[in-house]
Amino acid sequence: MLNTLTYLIYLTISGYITLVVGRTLNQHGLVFLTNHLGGNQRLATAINSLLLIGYYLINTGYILLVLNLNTSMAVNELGSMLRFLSLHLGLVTLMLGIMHMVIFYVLANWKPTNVITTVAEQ
Amino acid sequence: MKNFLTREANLPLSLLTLGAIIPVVFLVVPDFTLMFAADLYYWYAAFLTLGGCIAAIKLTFSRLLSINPQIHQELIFETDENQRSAQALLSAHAKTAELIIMSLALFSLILGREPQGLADLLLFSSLRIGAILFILGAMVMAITHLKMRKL
Repeated sequence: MLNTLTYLIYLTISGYITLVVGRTLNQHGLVFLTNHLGGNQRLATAINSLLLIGYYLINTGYILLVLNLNTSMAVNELGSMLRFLSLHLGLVTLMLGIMHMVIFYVLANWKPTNVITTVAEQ
Repeated sequence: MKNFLTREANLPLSLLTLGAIIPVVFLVVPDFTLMFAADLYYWYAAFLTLGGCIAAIKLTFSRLLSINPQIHQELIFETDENQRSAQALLSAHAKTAELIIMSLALFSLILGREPQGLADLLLFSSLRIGAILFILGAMVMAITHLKMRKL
């Protein structure tokens, strides 16, 4: 019974973290993308929402896959429950950080020349 | 989300309801009680997995296809000569991808050990739904990256 409870706590906490981080990145990333696309807000919004869908899918998938790691670890007392939660939540937040850095690196090195020319012509 | 709840949720919700109701009906009939009671967790895990996977697939593709048409034209299509045929082609590709991922979800049900308890049920479903979500996410990210490179 404690196993199931631990799994549910893990899923709730990691889902909440993913949701909050996703919303924050979506809000602040839009400004960055709009600036990168030479003020083309519509295109920036579209790319931003595509990135958000991808982010949610990959992270939710990762959270569910990580749940299956170390299933031999018996959760039968409070100590082992805390160990399980810290290990798994740590892996999830690490993945969130890595994913944020990778997306940021790709966007920072991205130079959309055609879009800037189109906007400048307008 | 509103759009999803009205249209796209029909199939996953009906699957989940069917999966929840059928064992209850059959458990009442004495001849079927033993047969259903033995594999009850597997039954629920299978329907939960299928419902979850189909909901994720439907939601993702409906979100992808519901981007503003003008943005679609700018982001997805290289030419604006025949937008309608391009959109039909995109819908066809989306349906094909949906079918392939659904078949993967179905196939995954026969792999692995059958769940014997509630914790096993959670692990069984989470592994399969997680893998499907990961595949969907990788696909969305790959499409976005390819389209961004063309801008």
